[in-house]
Amino acid sequence: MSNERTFESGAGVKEYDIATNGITLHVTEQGEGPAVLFCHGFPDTSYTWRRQMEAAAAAGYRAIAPDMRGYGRSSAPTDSNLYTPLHTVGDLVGLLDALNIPSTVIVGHDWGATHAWNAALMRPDRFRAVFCLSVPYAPRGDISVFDRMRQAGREDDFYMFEQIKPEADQIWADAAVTIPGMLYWASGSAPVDTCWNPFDLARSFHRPAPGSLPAWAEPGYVAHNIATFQRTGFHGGLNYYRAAEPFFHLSGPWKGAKIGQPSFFMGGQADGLKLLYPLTIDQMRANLPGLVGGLEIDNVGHWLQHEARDVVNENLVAFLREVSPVQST
Amino acid sequence: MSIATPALTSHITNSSRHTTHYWQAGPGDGPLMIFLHGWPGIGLLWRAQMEAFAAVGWRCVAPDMRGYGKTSAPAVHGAYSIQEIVQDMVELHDHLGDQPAIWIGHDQGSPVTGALASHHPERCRGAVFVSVPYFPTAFALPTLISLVDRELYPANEYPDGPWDYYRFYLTHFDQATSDFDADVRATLAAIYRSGNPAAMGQVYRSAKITSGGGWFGTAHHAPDVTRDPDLWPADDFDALVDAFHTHGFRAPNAWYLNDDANIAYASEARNGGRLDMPVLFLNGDWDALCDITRSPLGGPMREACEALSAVNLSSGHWLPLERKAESIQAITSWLEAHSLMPHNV
Repeated sequence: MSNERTFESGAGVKEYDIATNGITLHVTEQGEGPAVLFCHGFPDTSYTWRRQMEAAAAAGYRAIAPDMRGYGRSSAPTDSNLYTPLHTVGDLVGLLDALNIPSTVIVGHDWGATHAWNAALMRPDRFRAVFCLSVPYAPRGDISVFDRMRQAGREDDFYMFEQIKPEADQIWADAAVTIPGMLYWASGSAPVDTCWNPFDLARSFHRPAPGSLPAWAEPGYVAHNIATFQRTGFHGGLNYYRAAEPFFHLSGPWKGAKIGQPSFFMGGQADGLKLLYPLTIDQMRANLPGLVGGLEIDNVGHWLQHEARDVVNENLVAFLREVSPVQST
Repeated sequence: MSIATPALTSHITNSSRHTTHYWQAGPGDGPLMIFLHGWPGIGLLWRAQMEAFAAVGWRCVAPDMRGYGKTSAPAVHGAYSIQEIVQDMVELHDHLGDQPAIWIGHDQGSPVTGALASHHPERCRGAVFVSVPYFPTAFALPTLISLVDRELYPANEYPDGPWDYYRFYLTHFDQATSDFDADVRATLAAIYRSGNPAAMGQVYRSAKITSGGGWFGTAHHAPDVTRDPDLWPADDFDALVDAFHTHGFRAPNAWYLNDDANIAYASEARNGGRLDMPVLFLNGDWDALCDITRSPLGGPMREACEALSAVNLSSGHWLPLERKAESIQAITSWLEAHSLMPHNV
């Protein structure tokens, strides 16, 4: 653990740095009890989990959220090959080791869901249950999503091809525009005919938002992320997209693998990612034999932890109580 | 009558675990004064002070610190913890005869001086911290962040305040090192600049290293500047450049990677890190990073020192080079006030 001294930045919120797996992770923590580890996605920071961490802490859990590598105040290697789930799961195992936590529930959103599913897959001994938002679990198949899109002739319109380009760093660079834009266009508040579509660059999620953000986007959170990305840029975050195809070729050993631990999935019916991952909860169950439940919410898009904060908190706490009960004293 | 300038002579001492190269001046039987340079230096930083104090009877010694100059530079980052470096100093001090010494540290030499004084007070008659104050809980990022002036550096925009450059070693170590190594002479010339009084009260550029993509931005090498003639003498600057051609910045930068070990070590200091010997702090009034007159940075030192004198000099961060005569005068006055000059020995 890099800093034994911690300092309070809010009600019972601690921040500290942990040196592990060759990098430094900046970590926020709140509450005491069984551990719950939160993994944010793109383009985000651990602060995205503020309300879920409060809810988990209030329910008797120890909520822990790192800035994932590449983001915020954690290390951001320049080399995109260092952003596969092999790296992030290594970071998370190292984080648990540094905190002397034998096993945890893991929560993920967006890319953080990919990390959480992979953590559960690779280390069932350390990740006892998994709760994910927006990105469902689909086992590694025979062909990468990139090749699938190439074969479908979508090289010029599938959003991930734009995200992996070097110039994406610049496309995203104006965080005061792109952060609110991403929150708006990927959400269920955007009109259905102009909202983000992963197969239409004219409907990208980094367009400027048309006005002030809906009430679910807390100003403090938005300001925090704008300031953070103005400082760090987007190179680290975009590296997750750049590492995705190399990881496909490394992940052969997990082809077709199922995740047996207790799991839960929540998606937004208006999330553009639904076009990419059109799975029903029942279809997910085939590869998630431990699936405890799932929920897809109408009129909610990609940002469930903000757009449907209370529903997420309620289902998360219920899941935690089921899979990781707080010891009564 | 003319007095010859005392010559600096070069020496090596070996222990089973380490080799230290050091410069020495003055009478071999004089009282000991030991000078510790910081990042990114060599013992010759202290030439002016060594010559002046040697001339009045002190035995002046200035090692190249671990990772610098002709001293050994282990490859492992963990080798640059303060505990390891203090052990180097203990071995050097034993080699010099172990009579209690005046220890003087600048920049990263200051935390070494503080740790030596707090863990081995019997080796220290007096401690002088130059530019960087003493931190009883260690010179480490969490300590420093807790002391940031939040009016100048709002937490949302500058979570690490002017210590963002320190964060950058943690987040981008390889790039930080390769940017400095790209042109060692230009890097050192760019780093060693005289202070600028107009920079005070402004957000310092060390707060914007992450947002700028490094000290040198997208260029990834130092701007084409030449040596500031007011700081290093030309020959000493050449020696400094040569030393960095040998080892580069990896080892010096690794001093920033040991917060965990350094905080744990500080917590084991005698007396909770309190210093009972006379302590002098030389503050650079134009040191936009470390000045203690406009920020809370000196608070822990004021609490922890039994007998603290603080002197404010018109200087930037490179005070031993920028204010050679004034620093000698300030140290002399403090030694006299505490009856520590050679004729009192």
